[in-house]
Amino acid sequence: MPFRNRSVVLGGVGLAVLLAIPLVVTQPHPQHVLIMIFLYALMGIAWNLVGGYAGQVSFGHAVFFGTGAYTTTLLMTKAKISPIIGMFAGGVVAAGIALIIGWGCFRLAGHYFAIATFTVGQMVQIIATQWKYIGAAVGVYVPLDRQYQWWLTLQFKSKAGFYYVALLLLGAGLWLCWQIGRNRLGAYFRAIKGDPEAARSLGIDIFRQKLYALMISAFVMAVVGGVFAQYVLFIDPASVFDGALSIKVALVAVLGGAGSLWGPVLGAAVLIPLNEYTSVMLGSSGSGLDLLLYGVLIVVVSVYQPDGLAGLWDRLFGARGRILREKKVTADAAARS
Amino acid sequence: MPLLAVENLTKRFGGIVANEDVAMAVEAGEILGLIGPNGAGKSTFFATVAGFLKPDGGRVTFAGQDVTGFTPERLCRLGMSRTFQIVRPFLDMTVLENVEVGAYLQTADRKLARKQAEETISFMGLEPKAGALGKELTIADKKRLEMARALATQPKLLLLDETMAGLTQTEVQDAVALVQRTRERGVTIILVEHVMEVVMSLSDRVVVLDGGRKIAEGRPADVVRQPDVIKAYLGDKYHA
Repeated sequence: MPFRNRSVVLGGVGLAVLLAIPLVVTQPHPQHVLIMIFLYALMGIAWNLVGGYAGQVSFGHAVFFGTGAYTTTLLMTKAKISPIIGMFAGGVVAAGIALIIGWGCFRLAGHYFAIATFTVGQMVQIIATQWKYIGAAVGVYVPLDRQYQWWLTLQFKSKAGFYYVALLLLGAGLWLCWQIGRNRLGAYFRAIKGDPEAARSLGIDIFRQKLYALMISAFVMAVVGGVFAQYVLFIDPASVFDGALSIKVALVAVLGGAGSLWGPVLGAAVLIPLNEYTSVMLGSSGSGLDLLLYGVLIVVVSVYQPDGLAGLWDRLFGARGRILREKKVTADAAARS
Repeated sequence: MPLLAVENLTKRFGGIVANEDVAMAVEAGEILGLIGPNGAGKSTFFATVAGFLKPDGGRVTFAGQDVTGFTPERLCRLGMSRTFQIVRPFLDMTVLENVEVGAYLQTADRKLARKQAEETISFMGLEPKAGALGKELTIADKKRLEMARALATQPKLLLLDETMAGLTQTEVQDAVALVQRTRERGVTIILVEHVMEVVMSLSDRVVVLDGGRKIAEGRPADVVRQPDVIKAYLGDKYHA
């Protein structure tokens, strides 16, 4: 299969380039932007499972991100547990919280579900701001590790270490999403998005399947939250339970292509540099200009390109584009004969 | 013992009684036609039996088990599957993917589900369309897909809600043949249909509903001669 061989070669070259980048690009800021692209791509993938595949749009995903950040950090400061274990513990806690949130919110559908998730997000932020045990509004400082024992603290001398961690996690996230997409779980998610009543008539317990989607999604979000905490070394409710983060994660997935595997990667690759460099140019003093930009992007995408950048790519070069072209060729041949 | 037994099924919407004390039984291997004028309560009856509406009274027994008030997904897992009068394909999934969703009821294995789906698609004569998206299909193909998807769950009982409505003469003949072949595979069928020639040629027995009540039941040829049935369809003037 020549096509398959070509994909393998292209994939191999792409991976080699990605692995080599930190050796060539050594300035901290470009490395920071790349790390942010990877982390947001991974969060977009997580959001996409529930928002894109299963069609349950959430505006509260910061809850799971924050849960991961806090669980990882508190396990480290209070119990000396390595973030490498802590981030997965955070994932489990977040999945538990997703179960509780989903249990309530999945009784609502469509816009009402989206509104409910947004409200829950705000509530969790307020609770975290008041909760003394986890540092309340003051937040938590991650203790610095001067020996850079990354297996104990996930802290590195240079940003390159985080770059590889983020890349590895992104790879794992893509693999997970691909596996889900090609198996029963993915088929059920897409069926629920397509037509919930028809899905029920085929024996699908849609409430349960939506809970699965949200719990897996929450787990991945929390892992990213755990890594992020070690990266920025300080967390507080205002930053990790931020409603704007929830919006941004959703936007990464929707801009890239809701329900497509690579969509969130494309979305993050476009949106994050835009975000980072506009905040450099416009100043990050909370002018709100970047939020204005998100608003415009959401409108443009939903009006002109509802299936996102991945959909555009597919139509031009991808499998469906090819199928359509082949169809046209055979139809033309049939018309001539 | 009948495969499906319905006793005194009642369904109200506010003050309107859509089904009142409807009783019927279907034996395994049978094709039962459900007919009646518009508003007779056929679709309500279907939706209630299949779990999409909660009955206000009565009992539904399926394969020896009391299933009154069960959810559609639970009933489907027990072997009762339905199609919708207004077709509901998954528009952004291919025909193959649509049918796979049904096949996944019996197996979590991806390859097995695909094989099952392919087999069902070829049985339904949908192979040329296997790669097309749900939204690209004609209405006749959408109705076929609807049936293929339900069949892929491997039901004991299939509820077909107006699968022939809106089809051309040739398409109707194809569909009739398909229903017959489905029965030959051991699937019991209840069909709601407006196209009289379909009901008459396919059904072993028919049940006639009017105004939410059962007014007649029996062999097709006998039922159409009953005065109540003629009255329900044609009005008092033709009352024999």
